[in-house]
Amino acid sequence: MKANLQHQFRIRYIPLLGSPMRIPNRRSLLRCCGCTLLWGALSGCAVLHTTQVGEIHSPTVLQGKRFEIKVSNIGFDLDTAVAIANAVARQSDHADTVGAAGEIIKLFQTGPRTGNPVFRDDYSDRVFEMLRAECPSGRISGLVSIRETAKYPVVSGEIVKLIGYCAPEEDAP
Amino acid sequence: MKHLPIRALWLAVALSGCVHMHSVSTTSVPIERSEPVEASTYRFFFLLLNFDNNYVDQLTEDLAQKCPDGSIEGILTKQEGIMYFPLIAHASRVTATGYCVRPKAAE
Amino acid sequence: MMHRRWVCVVIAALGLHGCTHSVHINHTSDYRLTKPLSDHRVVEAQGEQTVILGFVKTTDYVDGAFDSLKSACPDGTLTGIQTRYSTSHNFLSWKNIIELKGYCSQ
Repeated sequence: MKANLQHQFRIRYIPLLGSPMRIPNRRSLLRCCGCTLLWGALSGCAVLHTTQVGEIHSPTVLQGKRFEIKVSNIGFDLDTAVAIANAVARQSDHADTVGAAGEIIKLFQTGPRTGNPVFRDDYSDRVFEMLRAECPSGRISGLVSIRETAKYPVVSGEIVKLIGYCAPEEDAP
Repeated sequence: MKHLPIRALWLAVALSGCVHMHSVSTTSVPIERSEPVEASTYRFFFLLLNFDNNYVDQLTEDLAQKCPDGSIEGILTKQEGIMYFPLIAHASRVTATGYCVRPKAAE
Repeated sequence: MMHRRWVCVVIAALGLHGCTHSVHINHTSDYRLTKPLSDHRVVEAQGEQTVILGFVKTTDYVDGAFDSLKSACPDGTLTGIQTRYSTSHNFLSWKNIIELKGYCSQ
């Protein structure tokens, strides 16, 4: 058993951390990297939080120009970040310190949340001006307001999307 | 007797009725704002169990009945979550307030 | 040594936490125009509510913000109203914010 383990992992001393770490051999390392990449690729998923459909003027929707406005900001998942940092720090006996720092930071992020917290709350305000730029006449109908999240490990895209239809120019007075 | 402060605290928490907003939306507001109307729906949840959201469907009709001869504009819709006691007693309230705009009589 | 490590942890946590926010909803209302959009002016209103440990009884700040927006356009139609509802997180408390922006025909 011990011989097998020694074959799989070679014990090396890492000067940076000053404590022994087990380094996997090439096959195990490749397998580990492959699993991590696969997990990263498959864990990104889309979450829909709210959808609101507005008034519909059918001629505008059916004959007008469809537009889509999307703004986003990077959200940060503190729980996942702390879990990963804990897993890395476990090797060198710093797990309790990392955990404590994470808990202290969480106390400063108390409150209701949709998706992951972001560091700016006004990133979606420019939708107002972008909407005017898309349809300067203001002949808009069929507006759908969507709040969604694109999730990835640790970070996420907090997205505000607006879909609408602008009436053709010949319909405008 | 020594647990009285803790019980009093729990009672205060239970009676506080914490209200949080889940969603809000508006529609265009008209010039004519002399006749405000309001309708709301309410659903109580026991143990957070809720098997349908049909209580919201009645809201539009309730509002329309308050303005049968006109149209309702300038609607502010709020969805609130109310917590009476953690995990045991919750409620949801959807409120819509607007203005009844009656068509002008033909001159 | 342990004491110094904990001091470093607290200082790092306080320095790195940042101010986080969460945008819950960004809704745009219908556009109902009686004259060209260029003849409208933009009006804004904001409402806030500070909540400590989750104890709060009303959401009247929303109605107050909407009333402020309407009073900014007393004799015109308000259309294309953008409603942004967000929360700014803090230490064991948070601030609910509602921002309204629209076009006034007056």
